[in-house]
Amino acid sequence: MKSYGVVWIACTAALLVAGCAGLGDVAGLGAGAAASTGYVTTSQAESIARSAQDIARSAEDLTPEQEYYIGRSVGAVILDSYDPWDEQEANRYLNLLGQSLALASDRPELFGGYRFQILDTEEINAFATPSGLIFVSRGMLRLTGSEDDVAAILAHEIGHIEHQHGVKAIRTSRLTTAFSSSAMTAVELAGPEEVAALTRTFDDSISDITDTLVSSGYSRGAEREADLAALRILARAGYDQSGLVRVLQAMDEVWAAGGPGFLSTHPDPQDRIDDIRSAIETGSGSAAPAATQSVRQNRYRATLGDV
Amino acid sequence: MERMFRFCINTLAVFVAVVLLGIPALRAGAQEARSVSVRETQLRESPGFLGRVITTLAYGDRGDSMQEQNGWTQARFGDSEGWVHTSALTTKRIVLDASDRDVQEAASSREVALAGRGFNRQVEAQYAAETGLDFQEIDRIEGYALDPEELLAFLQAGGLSLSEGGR
Repeated sequence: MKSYGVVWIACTAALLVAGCAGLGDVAGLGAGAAASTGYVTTSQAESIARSAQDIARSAEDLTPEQEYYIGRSVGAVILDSYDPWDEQEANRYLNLLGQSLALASDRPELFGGYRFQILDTEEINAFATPSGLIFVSRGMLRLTGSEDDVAAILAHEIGHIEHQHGVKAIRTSRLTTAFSSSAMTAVELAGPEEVAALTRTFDDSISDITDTLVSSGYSRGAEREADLAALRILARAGYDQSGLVRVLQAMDEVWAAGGPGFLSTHPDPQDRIDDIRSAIETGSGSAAPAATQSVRQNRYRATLGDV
Repeated sequence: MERMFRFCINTLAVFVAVVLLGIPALRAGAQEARSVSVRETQLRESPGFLGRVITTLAYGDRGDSMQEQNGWTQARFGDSEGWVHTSALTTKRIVLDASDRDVQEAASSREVALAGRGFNRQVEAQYAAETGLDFQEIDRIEGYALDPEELLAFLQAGGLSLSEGGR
């Protein structure tokens, strides 16, 4: 008797679970459909529709297409302060390496895809725009000693794009203004006044991002997210995760001296090393065969040896 | 005791019936509309960037997703069925040529996005004119195209993995 009771309870529990799984369908119904099928009353449905209108828009509501245009302008602002380093083979190598890492990320697909470009400056710096343009300075690349080290820098920048840190730096009020603009939603092409108004919001949004990238820096939490994303990407692609620690240690040595760029906008490298040490899988990727290691080292030296 | 047993068997029978009838319903329910949210992507035979390309999909193309696996979505676009990376898709309906009704819907819900609106080429041109910023270098850098064969050779020679990638 007792055991049958257990069976009955198990059956009931299973039915409850099955019932719960079905609830997802209700959540997917439009307010009107939900009302007509009797799941909610008409007034409840109207209230659902009203609250949908009242939802504040956030960076997540930007489409990849809008992120693309924001990112292009952020890139143009960066190239206004820094010259690109037009060493063809070095940039080709950076693009091959970067693309390999992007494919191993959670967000391999962007509206216009990823591109990588070296900046001609001694300053130790790297930037990622929301459109997938990743800049790394010659000064930054000089801190590296291997392909695995360069991979760590690029993977960190891809991590910022994965987490949309760039567009999240835009103040919410600007997005609210943008999303209520008729230039965002009108059927007819926007007139000069609407375009002018939206361009002001666009200008302010670009400033929010470039101020963060160039002056104030992301929060320690955001840097940690990008570092953890980098570790995941490196492990998936087959690179040595400890490349990130090596690069941070090299930065830490320069950190003491202070200076512009990466060092002024990023948390103390030693703090970042402490933040990620527990997340590093022991021995990951470091066991790449000697032949593979030498291929990586040869192509790194051939293209970035004299950076 | 026997009554209790029968009750349990009946409950079990009802449960089995619910599960059996429920499975096709759940499968049908799992088919959800998706739109391509990037300029261009590929529908592939298998879930992975090495999968053979069945067809190229364009921004705003709409299909039905069947299942998701390690960051890849199995979906049907027109007559073609295959796999596309989930990061190239959105649950929003992307409207390329909006009507008044689409606009109203886009303004009141998060389910609809209008292509080419808001921050677009027109706004960028106005911004460039006002700031005097040069976009030629950006265009040049974006124009750089990697040869897929070269990328594959780079991956293989460097002992890099694509099998786990893009999850």
